[in-house]
Amino acid sequence: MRNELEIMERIERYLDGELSPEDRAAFEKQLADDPGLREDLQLQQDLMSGIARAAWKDKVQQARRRYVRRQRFWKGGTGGFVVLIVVVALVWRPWVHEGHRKPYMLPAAASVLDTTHRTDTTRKTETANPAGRVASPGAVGLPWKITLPGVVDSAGARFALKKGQHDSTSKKVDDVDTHLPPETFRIDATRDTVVETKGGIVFAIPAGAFLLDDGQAADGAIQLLVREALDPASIIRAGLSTLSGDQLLESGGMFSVNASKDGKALRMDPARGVYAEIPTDSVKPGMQLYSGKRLTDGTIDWVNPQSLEHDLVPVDMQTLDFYPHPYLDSLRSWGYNSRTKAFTDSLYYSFAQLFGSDQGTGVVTFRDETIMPGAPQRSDDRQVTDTVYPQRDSTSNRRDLPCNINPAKIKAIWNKQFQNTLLATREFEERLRWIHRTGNGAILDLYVSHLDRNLSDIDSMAAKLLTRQGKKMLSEKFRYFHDRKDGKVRNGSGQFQQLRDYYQQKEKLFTEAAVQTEREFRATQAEADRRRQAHQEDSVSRVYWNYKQEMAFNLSRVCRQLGYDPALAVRPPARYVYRARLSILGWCNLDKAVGSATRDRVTTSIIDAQTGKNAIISYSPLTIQVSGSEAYDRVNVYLLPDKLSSFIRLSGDNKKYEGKLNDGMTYNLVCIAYKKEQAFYHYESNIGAGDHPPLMPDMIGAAELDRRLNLVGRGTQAVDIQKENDWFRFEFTDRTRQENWDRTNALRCTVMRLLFPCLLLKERECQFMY
Amino acid sequence: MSDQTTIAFIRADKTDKTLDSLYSFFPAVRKMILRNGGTRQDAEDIFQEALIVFYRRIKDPNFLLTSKPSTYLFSVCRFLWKDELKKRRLIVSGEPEFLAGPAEAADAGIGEAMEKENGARLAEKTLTQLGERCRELLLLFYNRRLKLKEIAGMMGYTSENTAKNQKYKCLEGAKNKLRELKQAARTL
Repeated sequence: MRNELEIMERIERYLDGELSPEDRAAFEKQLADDPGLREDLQLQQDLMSGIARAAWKDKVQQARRRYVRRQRFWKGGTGGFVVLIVVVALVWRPWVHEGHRKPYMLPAAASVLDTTHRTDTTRKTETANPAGRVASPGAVGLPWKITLPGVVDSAGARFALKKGQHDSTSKKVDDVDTHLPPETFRIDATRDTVVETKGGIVFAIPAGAFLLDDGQAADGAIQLLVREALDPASIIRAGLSTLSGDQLLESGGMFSVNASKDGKALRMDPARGVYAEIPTDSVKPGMQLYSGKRLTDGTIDWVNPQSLEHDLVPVDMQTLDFYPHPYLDSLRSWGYNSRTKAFTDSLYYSFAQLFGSDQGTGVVTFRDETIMPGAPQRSDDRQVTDTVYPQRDSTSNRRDLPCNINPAKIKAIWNKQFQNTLLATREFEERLRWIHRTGNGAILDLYVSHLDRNLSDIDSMAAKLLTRQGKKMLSEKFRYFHDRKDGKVRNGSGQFQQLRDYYQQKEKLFTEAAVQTEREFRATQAEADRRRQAHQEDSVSRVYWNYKQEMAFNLSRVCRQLGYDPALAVRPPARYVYRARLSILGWCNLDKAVGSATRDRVTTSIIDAQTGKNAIISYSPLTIQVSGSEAYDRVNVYLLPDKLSSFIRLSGDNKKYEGKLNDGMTYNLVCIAYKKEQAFYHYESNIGAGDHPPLMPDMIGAAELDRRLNLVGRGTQAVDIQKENDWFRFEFTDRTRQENWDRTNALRCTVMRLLFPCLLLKERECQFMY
Repeated sequence: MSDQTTIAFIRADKTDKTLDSLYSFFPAVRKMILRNGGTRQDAEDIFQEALIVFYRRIKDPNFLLTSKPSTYLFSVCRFLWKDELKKRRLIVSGEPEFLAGPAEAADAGIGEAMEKENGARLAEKTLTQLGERCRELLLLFYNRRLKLKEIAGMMGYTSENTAKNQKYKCLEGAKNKLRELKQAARTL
């Protein structure tokens, strides 16, 4: 043990450079030899670093607090500050994420100050309060009124002050002052100033906050005297009471502020007031503001509790997050860029289509819901639904699964129309997260319909509504919000009715727009699907008819070779007649032989059993290559036989195309290649069998290509090949759309499952929906 | 605060004033981070960490600042954020100026400095795991540089020697914890 301590001491002295040169050299040698010692050294160094870092971090965080405070003060003030109590004990709740403090604004009426002027001491007179209650005249006054928010705490008040503990003589009053030494600040009354006391109270004093006796604003240098009693010990030491009647109150802290200029006491300007932030560790809902009333026996009684109302600070809407909670985080965790608002918005708002009343499109929608009794009535006839119930089948009516509210509602409020309303506040942002979870759009409607009310009032309305719907837990949550007593935005936008109307209109509009977009989306896809289908059918049909026609042709040749009149037997079937039946009489055997020869495209010799004559159908192979084929996106090689009404597409990978030429026909060759949208074209008439040198198609414009294709081939070949060409052109341009569609689909479906679990979408159902 | 003043103040350990002045650059950093896949909280954290690194670098006698402090601070923030993105393996389509450009442009030694900072960060963690008295003692000694005698008085030790022994015991405890943490980090 000792040894280790000694080692550590040595290391420390080495690090501090306190070793003599010889010791130092010896130590370094030891270091070189002993890895354990090296490790020790490194650890100790790290520890030193860590300690320094801890201290440094602390400073940084203090700096941050100061920064935040500066920002909040200068940005948060809306117009004038409301007059504040000079001595106030307040509690507020620390901001959840950042530990910032919420400012309290007290109504002017609540401020109370005693005016006293004691002639029996040499003390300076203290300030007078122009508004509010004044203590009973003649009372030997304390220079402040203490107002305490308090709750009756029967479980044991923090301060077990007994009644009558106070000595009612003025001597005790002196004690109070002496036990609480003041802090003095010198400020320039003509400038906005922020001061911070030792105890951590921050005062924001606007310019001209103090008035001289004649009502003029004080200017120049003034003196502020602040006394604080923020912890129980100080309060007790100061002899301050926490009694209201005979009820014990719980204090959040007390302080007094007095201002003077050149020895003369100043008053506070009721129109401006001073803004105070007092640090607290815990939230105490139910806090109220008590006014201090000085009784004739010298004690202070706390009377007239008023609920605290604090103003909301509006922020820029764009900095708020109105999405339902897991949305952005999930997107981010799936690797999407959740910062691009255009993207996150468009994806989220597209789900408004789920709330459309349109039933016939096959789009999954939610069943229309009748208005819940007691919910705010809507003057317009409702086209859009408020609450979501899954439609799938009545047995799977999962009301217990949550579903988020209509995104169109969010879109209707998340814009600059609602800047400077209570929607544009962090307080509302917090509530909105829970509103999403209620799955009940009527709750959101409540907030939008009552923009002129206090947030806490709307909270309680929401809580009532939720209770009526039997959602106890959520109702509790809104009751908890209500207890925070959040107020309004001062000097906010007054256009309440207009905003209400705007909201209702927009919600409808956006929902319908989303439904429309969805419809168009599907229509486009349906169209593409249809075309693809048509093309496939065409191809199949073409191959079939080619076969039939070639078969007929071969048959007639064989007939001729065998000496029969082909006219008897064969008529090339018409292509576009349905249900045409080939009637080849009496040639069943030949039929089969010719049929298989045609189908397999192999040279076949057919012997007529009756006559012994010999007929041949012969096919020769053809190989086509296209030079530079890897560079093309698509290469198609077509044969245009003169005896068939359509073309033959040669199969082959991009490199080699193989086919069999019927010796009885002449073939023209067409090759169309595409590099992106640029077409390349090659034409050869009367192509012969065998291997050919690689084709080199030439660049060609779309219109020119059409013209050429019109000229090639005979009969319907031109039409057919053009159709084919058109399809490939379409398919290429559509490919991007198709890929995007597929990709978006997957994402949309996943997000839909996330945000609207009541739909009970399974993963594979995502395919069926689209 | 002018640039020279900032640097001078930092080197003279007049930290509060310089911090307040440096914090005025926070909005720009926040913008950058928000634009490149981060949250407000990320911006706060990165900025704070950057200030610490910044401080360390400025105090390092071997380091020569060749640009304005604000520029350097910003580039440290960018470096840290890129690093963080790499750690989180986030695919981010951010601004091209952010994505392009070498992170270490402003300071060749920053990679190494970050490494060292990691050690310090771990050590800081061990401090929080020590008991209150140990932590208090170490902070009083090393940060506020009080004499052992004063510390003994403040903390109620019987003698200066007791305080000294306690200090080393605490240090040892911290060392062991740090050793464990480092081991754990290595095996991850």
